[in-house]
Amino acid sequence: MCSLTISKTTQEQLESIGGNGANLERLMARRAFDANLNQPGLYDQPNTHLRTGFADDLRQLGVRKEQIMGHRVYFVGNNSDCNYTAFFIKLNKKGDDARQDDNNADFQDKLRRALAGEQVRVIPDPRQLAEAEQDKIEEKPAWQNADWYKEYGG
Amino acid sequence: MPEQNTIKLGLADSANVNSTMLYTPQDAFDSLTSCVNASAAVHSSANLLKTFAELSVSTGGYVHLLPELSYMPVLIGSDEKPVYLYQLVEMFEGFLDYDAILAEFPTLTFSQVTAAISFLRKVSQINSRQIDVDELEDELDTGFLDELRQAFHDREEVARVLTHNI
Repeated sequence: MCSLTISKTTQEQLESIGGNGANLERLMARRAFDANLNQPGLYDQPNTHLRTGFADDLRQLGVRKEQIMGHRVYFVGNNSDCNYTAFFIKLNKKGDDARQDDNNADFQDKLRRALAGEQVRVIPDPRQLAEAEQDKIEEKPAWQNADWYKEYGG
Repeated sequence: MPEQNTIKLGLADSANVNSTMLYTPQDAFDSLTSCVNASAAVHSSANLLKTFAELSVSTGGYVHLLPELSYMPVLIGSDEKPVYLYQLVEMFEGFLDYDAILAEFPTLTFSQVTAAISFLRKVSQINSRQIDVDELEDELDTGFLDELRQAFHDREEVARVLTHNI
């Protein structure tokens, strides 16, 4: 049976959702316990791989994601290590407090509009934005490619 | 009894089929093949959603398939807002007594039962626009990526290691 390491960040996130945190932790742990050195488990399945274009830097570092109770658990490790490390949870719900429990209203609204066929605004990865800005800066103005500039200007 | 739903599929979805200019017989063949395949996919999707509609009616009509939500199964709350069926399945996952289930079906494993729940969740996300809800969530919700990267770098700060003995 493999083990599950809970990072400090994950621990704090589990505590932040009150009673649901214990349930979530139980399901996270049992996924690890169900795998062993010779037998891959749910954490080793292809559906845990991050999609191309989504945090590519982390994807290349072997970060994967498992959807549990509507939360997204990010982890590293596989059954050949016989240990998985959960280091971040993208919580779907904020906690036991009903006032906070908006059930991810913003996403629900965007999902509703996507299903209705409306255009939804995709927020790009800030890193990609920064790279695009850098490319823009490095891009020469068109006139610098003109023959006269190459001959006399440069 | 809740209002019964109807399924209207076909023309709107067929409109998504690409119309391209044809240059060679091979292009024409490829294009027609693509149209036939697309049409088959629409037909198959319509059949599946028709089955959903029949299931909805046969279970009292509480589960709604609304055209404005691309027929993705929902319940309608007292505030008239939809609650997606897949959200309900996500909740089931947290409250199931897995040990009781495994005692009832001793030949199954925890992973199999969990995978079955994931399968039901995916089934309840089927819609006529073939929108992948999980993919959409990744696309739309990227505001936390810096936090995720920080957490990855901090992963060595271990709180606990859970083993089966605990």
